[in-house]
Amino acid sequence: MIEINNLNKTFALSRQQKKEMGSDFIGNTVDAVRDVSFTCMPGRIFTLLGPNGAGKTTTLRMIATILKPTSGTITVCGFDTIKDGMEVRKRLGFLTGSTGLYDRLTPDETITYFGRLNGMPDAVIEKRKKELFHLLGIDQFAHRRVGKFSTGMKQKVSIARTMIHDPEVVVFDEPTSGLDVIAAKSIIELIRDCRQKNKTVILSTHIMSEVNMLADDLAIIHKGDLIYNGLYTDFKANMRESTLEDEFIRIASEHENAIA
Amino acid sequence: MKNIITIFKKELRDITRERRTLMIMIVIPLVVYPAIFTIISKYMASEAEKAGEKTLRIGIVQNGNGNDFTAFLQQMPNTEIRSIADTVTGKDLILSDSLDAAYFFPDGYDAGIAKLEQTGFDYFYTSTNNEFEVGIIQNINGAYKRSLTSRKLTELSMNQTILEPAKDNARNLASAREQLGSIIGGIIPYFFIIFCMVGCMYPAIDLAAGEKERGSLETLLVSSASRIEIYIGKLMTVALSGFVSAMASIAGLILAAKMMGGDAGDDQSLMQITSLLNGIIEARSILLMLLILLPLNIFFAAITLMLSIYAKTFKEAQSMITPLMIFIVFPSIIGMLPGVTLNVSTALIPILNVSLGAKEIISGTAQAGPLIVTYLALFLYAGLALTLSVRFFNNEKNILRG
Repeated sequence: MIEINNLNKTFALSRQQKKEMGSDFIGNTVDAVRDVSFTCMPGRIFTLLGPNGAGKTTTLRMIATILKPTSGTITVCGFDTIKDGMEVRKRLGFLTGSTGLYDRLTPDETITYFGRLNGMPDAVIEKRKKELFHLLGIDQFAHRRVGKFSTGMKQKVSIARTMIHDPEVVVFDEPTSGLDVIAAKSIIELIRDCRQKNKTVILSTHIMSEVNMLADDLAIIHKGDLIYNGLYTDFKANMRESTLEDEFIRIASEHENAIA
Repeated sequence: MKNIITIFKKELRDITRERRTLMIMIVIPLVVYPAIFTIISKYMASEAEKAGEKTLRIGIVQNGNGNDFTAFLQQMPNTEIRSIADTVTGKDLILSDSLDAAYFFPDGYDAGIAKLEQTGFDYFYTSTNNEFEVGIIQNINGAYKRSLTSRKLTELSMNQTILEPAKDNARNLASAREQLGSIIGGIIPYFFIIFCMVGCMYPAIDLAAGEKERGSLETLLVSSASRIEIYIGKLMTVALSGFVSAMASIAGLILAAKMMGGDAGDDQSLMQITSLLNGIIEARSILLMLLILLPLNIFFAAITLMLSIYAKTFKEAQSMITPLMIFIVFPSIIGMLPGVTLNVSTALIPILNVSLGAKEIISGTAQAGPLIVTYLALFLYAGLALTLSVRFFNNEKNILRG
């Protein structure tokens, strides 16, 4: 379970960043996330929907202990991300669209490396690796260097790396961006599989079809503010527009007008 | 600790699988010394051989003067006497490399010599000639003047010793190693320092900025390893790489000593260089050098890793780290200059202290006091660089910059 309470993240801007914000911008900081609170439950897919720059990745990075919140709290499986960062990371898997693998290592070496870093004994790593490699079809290329793999093959290795320590909580940060249909499908299957295994899943995306396919709970984030948080079925039932895209644009525009 | 070892082992495996890193880290430092010393020795031997074999072409202006010199010159081996019309022709022939020297003797020269008067002559040469040839010409002139003096003294029935009533017998107490060490000893630490830096540079770029660019840093940060464990694992790899480069250059030095030892024969200068190299490869010298290399590598590794962490991409890291070479090469070159020695003040200047300290260790002239200050200063700078670098790595702004 993930519990987020009154989460804020403010970034100090460099001179160059201030210039890029335009002449209308006043101040030295920018609020990436403002007073965000939500809860992700095990066995459900919590979908964080928002356009680029909305604050989705910042929120997920705070959950994953990569960034520290400016204020507010996050607990993952009962552990505070600031006080018990290591305990949080032990229980967490993190997958992004960029496969982020080491070209000169083989899948076997990569997975063993991350298994060891997650504190797993070698015997357990071997057993788990065997299962995952068989499940994902990595066996045929487990001992070849990653450098020359196709995106699909790399994505499979990336999934195995995320799941090697069988995490209770899995964070997916725009996991299908840049992937072809087949590679994206394997990610969708993984997310569903995580729900089936009663894991807590948080998925950030700006792809409406993914929301429609996967979301149990939905949060919409726009310019750092949480503008919707509830059941996806409720959201769909109360839509004023005919499509999810149009409804999202309507809510975002309303929020834009409110903060202007 | 377990995580540090895991990271260290993985990073080591990763970088050693890249040919370019291996070339820079091991192959180049290993071959550079044998290559340099082989080239020097071959050059010296071939120049000496050329000069020894060559017949010196000497022109004498045909004006009926200088018969005394011509007679002297005829007794000299490897000389060819040519008659030339005037000094202008002589100069032209020298400049067109048809002559090595031209002599002009004024009217009354021979008569003056006969009357024991002081006379003089002009000779022309070009200093851009091979230095061995210039040396031979000067030797001929010296020998001729000594023969004139000797003749004059004999004619005056005076003892030859009158010109040198007391002989000073100089005894240089500096060993061949010390003498040569002060001259070429500076080149050796120069390369050590460069190799330490180059050895650290590429792994540092790959391990931080490269990891950022590949997108694998985020995944690593989400693992159970703490940030400091990740940092130390990476630092150890970078420092080891610099250390291996320096060690490879020491191995190259030993190789050079062995090669030169075999080739030296009777050649004095080659024997001197060989004795210098053999001196360096004494256990004590190597141990003292290793003590310098350890903090130097940590210092370089911490700085290169810090900049690499800050950089967004591999390319940006390269453009940030490469200019650092100026700050390393410059003090290293100052350390090579003769007369610049290691004292308590120079021992505090980073890089220069390494250059001077290593130079004195090589020459066998290192004094305990300044050397201890060098070690202390190096460990202090390494500690400062390390602290700064860790702070950089712990700063989320740097680590996620991009």
